[in-house]
Order: sequence, then structure tokens, then C-alpha cells
Amino acid sequence: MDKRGQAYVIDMLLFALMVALACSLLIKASPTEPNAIDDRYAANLAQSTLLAFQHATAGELGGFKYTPDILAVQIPWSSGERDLHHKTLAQLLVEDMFCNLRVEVGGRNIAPLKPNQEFDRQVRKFLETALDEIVGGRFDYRLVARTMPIDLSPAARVHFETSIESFNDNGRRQACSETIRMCLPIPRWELLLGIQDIYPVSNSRLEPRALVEITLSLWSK
Amino acid sequence: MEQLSVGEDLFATVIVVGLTALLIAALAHSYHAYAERKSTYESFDLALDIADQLRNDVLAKHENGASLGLINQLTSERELQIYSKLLARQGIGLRVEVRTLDGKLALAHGPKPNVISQYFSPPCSVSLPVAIAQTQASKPFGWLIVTVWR
Repeated sequence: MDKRGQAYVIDMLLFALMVALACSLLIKASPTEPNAIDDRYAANLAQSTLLAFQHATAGELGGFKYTPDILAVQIPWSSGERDLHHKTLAQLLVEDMFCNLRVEVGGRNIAPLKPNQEFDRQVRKFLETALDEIVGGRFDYRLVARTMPIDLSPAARVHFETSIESFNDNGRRQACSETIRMCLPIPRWELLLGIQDIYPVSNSRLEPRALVEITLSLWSK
Repeated sequence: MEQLSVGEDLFATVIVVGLTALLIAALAHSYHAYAERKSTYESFDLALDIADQLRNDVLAKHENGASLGLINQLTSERELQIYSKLLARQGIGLRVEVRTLDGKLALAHGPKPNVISQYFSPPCSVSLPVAIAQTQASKPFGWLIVTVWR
């Protein structure tokens, strides 16, 4: 090969290097951040799930029945069983909140007089089954439901918080977190009655609207 | 002007042409892979937008106004036809299915996937959970499955 031929080959090798560089840039280049598209889908899925929770009835997921343990006394001639198949999943969660409101005085929780832990346990189990079926296959989840604290006096307040989760968060990247807010769908006098059993409070001190916040957070599996 | 010597210089020229062809093919392949990935992302994004619109507006119209996330089986067909025509004008094909959790088809609109598989861009699917208003008392969970293609 004479000098001109060698020059051709050297030029071509340089050209090959540049093309290889361009190829590698193209292969690595992504039109969008892959996480961004995952996160967008996760946010849509979480939002849809929360919306569906407000409409889908418990009867379609096998029904929901429970026996109130408010009095902690079994009445032999009455089954006392409540069938809540007509309630939506969000309504069940809100009812659980109302039945298990906690009063905090001076930063310390007062045990409620009417604990309804069996109902709480069953609602959590029911919601866990629903969440496993809807988002459990694709994402790990955490559903947190809480009431906005209702101040009864400068020292006392009523609140509720519960969480249902499918995993332990070990510092993994969260894909999304979506929240819906709804009013506690019970009459003001009923709420007052429920609280007065635990803590004396006047009608005027009670907030006119008690808000419930339901947050669904998702993590990629 | 120097003459090309048959032998060494011709060999160099063949190498140069072969290498150039190879590199151009590699570059074209890389670009094709990039464009395909971009198209998939765009299709997925589009499918998500459409699913969002269907869930919140087109399929959520009820007698007493819209209920986000609650699919109305009765009025959906007519609404879907109008919506599909709007998308078709932009060159977007659409198939919508609503299935209950046990897989029963509650609503279907648009051509079946085996018909659309021959289009230029591969179809892209998105599924979102919804509630289906079957009767006043019965509102089961279901999946809204949206497939789009260009």
C-alpha cells in the first residue's frame, strides 16, 4: 500500500471513530427521562384508584359485614351484624375514622371510650385486598388516611390516622403521591355526640367542617 | 495528475467504501432504535392523555353531571364515537375497552387489535382502574384499557 492508500485508511479510521461516537450517543440518548414516564403513569394510576374508591361499592368486592363491638357485650337474641355492601370503599374508610377518632390532651392520647378496633381491622384488611388487586401487581403502595386535627380547646384536639402498606420503605425512590380531600360525611351533631362521650366540648368550639385526607403513594417494584 | 495504481490503491478504496457503508448502516440502525424508542414514549404519553380524558370527561357523563372515575355504560357509546372521530382527524386510531376485575367486557369501542397491528406505528396500551356504573346500587371496580396508534 503506498502512502496515499495509508492516508485513506487513517482518514477512514478517524471517520469510523466519529461515527462510532455518534452511534453510542444515539443509543444512550433517551427522548425523555425513563423515570418521568413511569412516574406519570404511577400518578395517573394512583389518582384513578382514589377516584374509583369514591364510587366502587364494597358489595362488588365480596361484600363487607361486621359486628359492632361498641358495647363489648354480646346480645344473644340479636346478631348485631351490619351489612355495608352498599358503601363505597372511601365511605368505609371514613366510617372507620369516625368510629375510631382519637382525642389528644396536652400531647397525650386518651383511649376512646368506644373503641371499635374490630371494624378498623376489617376495613384495613378489606382495603388491603382491594389495593393488592388494583395496584399491588405493578407497584408497592402506602395508603394513608387522616383527619385534619379538630381543635376542641387550646390543649385538646381530635384526630385519626391510619395507614395500609405493602412493604417497608428502604429509602427507595417514590414514584408518586396523590391525595384527595373529602368532608367527613356525618352530621355535625353526630360528630359532636361522638366526641362528647370522650371529652366535654361545646357546640360552638367544633369546626364546621371536618376534612379527611386520603393519600396513596406508589413505589416501583 | 497521479494515476490510481491497480492493486494497493484499489484495495484501499474498497476498504474505505466498505467501511463507510458499514458505518452508515450502524448509524442508521442507531437512529432507528432511537426513533422507535421516542415513538413508543410519545404513544404512551398520548395514550395516557386520552385515558385521562376518557376517565374524567368522555365516559364520566351522567344524568346529574360528570362523576370523575365513574364510567357510565349507557351513554358512553355515542360519546366515544364523537371522540374517536375527533382523534381520527388527527390521524390517531383508538380502541377503548372497559373490563370488570374478573375480565368481563363491559364496554368496547373501536377496531380490534389484530386489525390494527399492520399500521405504521405499533399500538400502545394503557390501563387505569375505574368504577363502572352498572346500576344505581352496583358499581364494581374495572379497568379502562385504551389502545392508540397512528
